[in-house]
Amino acid sequence: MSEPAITTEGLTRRFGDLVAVENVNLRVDPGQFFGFLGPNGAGKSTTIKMLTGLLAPSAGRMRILGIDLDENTVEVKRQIGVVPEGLALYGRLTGAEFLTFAGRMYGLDPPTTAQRTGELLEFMELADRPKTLITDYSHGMQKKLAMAAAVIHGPKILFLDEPFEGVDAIASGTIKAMLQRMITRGATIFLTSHVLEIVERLCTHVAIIHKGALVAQGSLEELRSGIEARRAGDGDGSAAAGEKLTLEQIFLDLVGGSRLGTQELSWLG
Amino acid sequence: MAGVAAEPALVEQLRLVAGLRWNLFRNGLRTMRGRLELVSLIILSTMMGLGALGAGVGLGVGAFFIVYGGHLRWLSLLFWGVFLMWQLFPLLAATSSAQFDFKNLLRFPLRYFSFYVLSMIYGMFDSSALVGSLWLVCIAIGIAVAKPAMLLWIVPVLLVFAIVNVLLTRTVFAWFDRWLAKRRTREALLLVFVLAMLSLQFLGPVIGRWEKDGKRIPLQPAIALQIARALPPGLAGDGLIGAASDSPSRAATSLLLLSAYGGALAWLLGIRLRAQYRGEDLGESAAPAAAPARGKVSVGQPWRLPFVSAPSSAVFEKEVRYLLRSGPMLLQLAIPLIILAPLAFSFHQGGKHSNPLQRLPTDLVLPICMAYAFLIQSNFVFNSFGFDGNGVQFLFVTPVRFRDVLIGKNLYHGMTTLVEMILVGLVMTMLLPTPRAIVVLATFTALLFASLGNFSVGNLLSLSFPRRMEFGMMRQRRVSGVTMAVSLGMQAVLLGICGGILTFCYFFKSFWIAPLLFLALAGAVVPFYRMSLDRCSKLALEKREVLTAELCR
Repeated sequence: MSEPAITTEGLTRRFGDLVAVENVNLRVDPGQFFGFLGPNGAGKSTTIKMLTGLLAPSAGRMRILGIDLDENTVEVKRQIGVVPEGLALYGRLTGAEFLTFAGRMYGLDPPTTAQRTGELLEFMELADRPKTLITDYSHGMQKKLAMAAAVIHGPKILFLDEPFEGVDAIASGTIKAMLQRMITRGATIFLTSHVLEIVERLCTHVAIIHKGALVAQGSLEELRSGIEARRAGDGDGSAAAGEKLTLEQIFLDLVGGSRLGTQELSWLG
Repeated sequence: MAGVAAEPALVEQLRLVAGLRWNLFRNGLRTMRGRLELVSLIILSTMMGLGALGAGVGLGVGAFFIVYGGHLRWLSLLFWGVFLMWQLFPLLAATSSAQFDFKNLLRFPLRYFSFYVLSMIYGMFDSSALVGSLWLVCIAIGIAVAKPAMLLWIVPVLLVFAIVNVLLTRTVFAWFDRWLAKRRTREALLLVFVLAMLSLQFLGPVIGRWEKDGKRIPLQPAIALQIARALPPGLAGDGLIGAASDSPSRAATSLLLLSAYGGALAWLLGIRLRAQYRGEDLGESAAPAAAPARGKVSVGQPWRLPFVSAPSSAVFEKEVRYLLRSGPMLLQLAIPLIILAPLAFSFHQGGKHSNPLQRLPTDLVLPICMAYAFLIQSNFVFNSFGFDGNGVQFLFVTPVRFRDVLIGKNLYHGMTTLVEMILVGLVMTMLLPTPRAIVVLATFTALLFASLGNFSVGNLLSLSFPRRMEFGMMRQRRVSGVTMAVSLGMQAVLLGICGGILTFCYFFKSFWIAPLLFLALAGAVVPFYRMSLDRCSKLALEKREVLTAELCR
C-alpha cells in the first residue's frame, strides 16, 4: 500500500480556552481530490493552516508524503503548493513579477522561472495586462494568480482554502480545468469550500468537520451509504425512496441544519 | 415594517469614534505584546513629554523676557520654532500611535461636514500637535504674565495660529499622499526636487558674481525678513507685536491675514477630503494600454545576485521594486538631502550666515551629516516586514528559511543606505571642503559597524513586533512602541560608540586609528549578526501567528 499523501494524528489547536480543532485524524491518499467541508467557524481554515505550516498545532502530528511537518518543514513545503485564505500576494508587484518571485522562492532556476511564468500567465488569461499591479486586479484575477504561484514549482499536493469564493463562472472554469489536469497527472488536491455543488462535482473524497471535530470522512459513496443505512435503521422513509442523497443533504444531516429559517427579525422589511 | 434610523448628531459620532478607538486600544492590551507596547509607549511619552515641557518652559520664559524687556521683534522667532517643530516632526519621525483610517467610516451614513470635522479633530491628537499646543500655551502664559493687557489678543492669535498649523500638516500630507500615489505626479515631484537642488548649486556662483561686481544681492536679510513676516509664524508674531505696541489695527490685520491662511488651507484640505469622501482610489497602475496581441508572453529574467541564495536574491528584487513604486519610501531617501543640502549650501557661501555646520571641526562634518542620514534610513530596518502585508503568508508556505529572507532584506537596506550615503557624500563634497580620505574611510567603516549592529537587532524586532505599514500613505508610517524604544536605545549606543571614537581620534589627531577600530568592531558584531540570522528562522515559526495576524489585516 502506498504512503498516504496527508495524515494527521490527534491534531488539535486551542486559542486560549477555545478549542478550534480537536483530535482530528485525517487520511488523504495520493491522487485524491479531497474536499474538506464544514460550517463557518467549524475549524476548516485552522486545519488547512496547520497542514501548510501557517499555524502551529497545540497537539498532534502531521505527515505530508510521509514526512513529518514539524521535523522537516522546508522539505514538506518543497512538495506542496498553497493558496491560503488571504491569497498571500504582494500587491505592488505585477503578475509576472510576483510569479517570478514565487518561482525563485521555490528554488527554480531563472530560465525555468521565466518560462513557467509566461505559460502560467497565458493559461490563467492574465497576460493581457502586463503592467497592471496585483492590487488593481479584480478578485478573480488575484485568485487565479495565487493559484498560478502555488503550482509554479509543480507540487505533488495542492492545498486550496476556498478557491471558488468570489470567482466568476469563467475564472472558476479555468481553475477547475487546471485542477482536473493536475489530478489526471497524479497530484493530490485538498480543498475547503462552502460551495457544496462544486465539491460534489469535483471531489472524490470528502471529510466534514463540525465544531472542531471530524464527523465524517470517506468517499462520497461511503458517506452516502452510511447516512442511508442510519436513516433506514431509524425508520426514516426518505431513505427508502431510492433517490441518491446529494452532498448538501449529507452535509445538513451531519452538521444539523434543522434550525434553518425558524427565526425572524421583526424589524426587517 | 422596516424603518430607517435617524442620522446621529456630530457630537454623538465623535463620541462613537472615540469609543471605537478606546475599544481598539483596550482590546490590544489582552496580549503580552500589547501590554509591552503600552509600557514602551508610557516610557517614550514620558521622555518626550518631559522634553517638550522643558522646551515649553524655555519658550514661556523667553516670551516673558521678550515682552517684558520690550524686544518685541524677536517674538516671531518663538513662533517659527513652534511652526518648524509642528510641521517637520511628523515628516521626520515615525509615530508609534495607531493611525485611524477615517475612510473606513464612509460605509456609514456620514455627512461630508461630519467627515471633515472628524478628521480634523482627531488630527489634533498627533504628538506634534499636542507638543505644539503645549508650547503655545507656555508662550501665552509668558506673554500674559509680562503684559496682562495683551491677553485679549493672545487667545485669538494663538488659537488661529494653532488651527493653521493643524490644517497645514493635514493639507501637506493629504496632497503629498495624492501626488506620491501616481507615477506621473511622483516623477514630477522628483523633478521639482532635483531642479531645486540644482538651482541651489547655480545660485552660489550667481550670488558670487553679483557680489564681485559690487552689486546689491536681491535676497538680502531684510527682504528675507519681510517674506518671513508674511508667513503664518511671522503674522502671529506681528499680531502680538501690534497688540503690545497698542496698535490694534496692526494686530487685527495680522490676525485677519492669519485667518486667511487658515481659510485657504481649509479649502485646499477640503478638496482632498471631498475626493476621499467620494471614494477616491489612489491606485497607481499604469493607465491601461490597448491590449497587446495574443502571443507568447515575454517575461524578464529574475535577478541573480552573486554570493547569495536564490530566495535572498528574489526578496532583494521584490524590495527594490517596492521602493521604486513607493512615493513615501523614495521621499524618505530624499529627506536627508532636503535637510542637508541647504545647510551645506549655506556653508558654501563662506560664513555669510549662521550655520550649525560651520561650528563643527571640518573633519567631523561628513561623519555627522552621514550619521544623520543613517538615522533616518534606519527606521525601516526595525520593521522589515511592514510593507509585506498579505505577502508575508507566502514566505511561510514556501520552502525558504527566514534567514535567507532577512539576508535579502538586509542587502536591500544596506544598498539603500549606501546609495544614500554616496548621495549625501557627493552633495557634501561639492559644497563643503573636500574631506580627507581617512575621514571618508572612517565614516564608511563606522557605517558598516552600525549597519551590522542595526541588522542584528532589527531582524529580531521585525519578527517579534511587526507593524503593518500602509503603502503610499505618509501619515500611516508607524512602528511598534517596543520597536521604537529599543531602536532608540540601539541608535544611542551605536552613535555613542562611533561618535566617541571619532571625537577621540580627532582630538588626539590620530584619525588613522578610527577605521581600524570600526573594522574591528564590525568584525566583533559579525558573530552576533550570524547568530541573529540563525535565530530568525526559528523565531519566525514561533511568531508566525503574530506576523500574519498583524500584517494580513
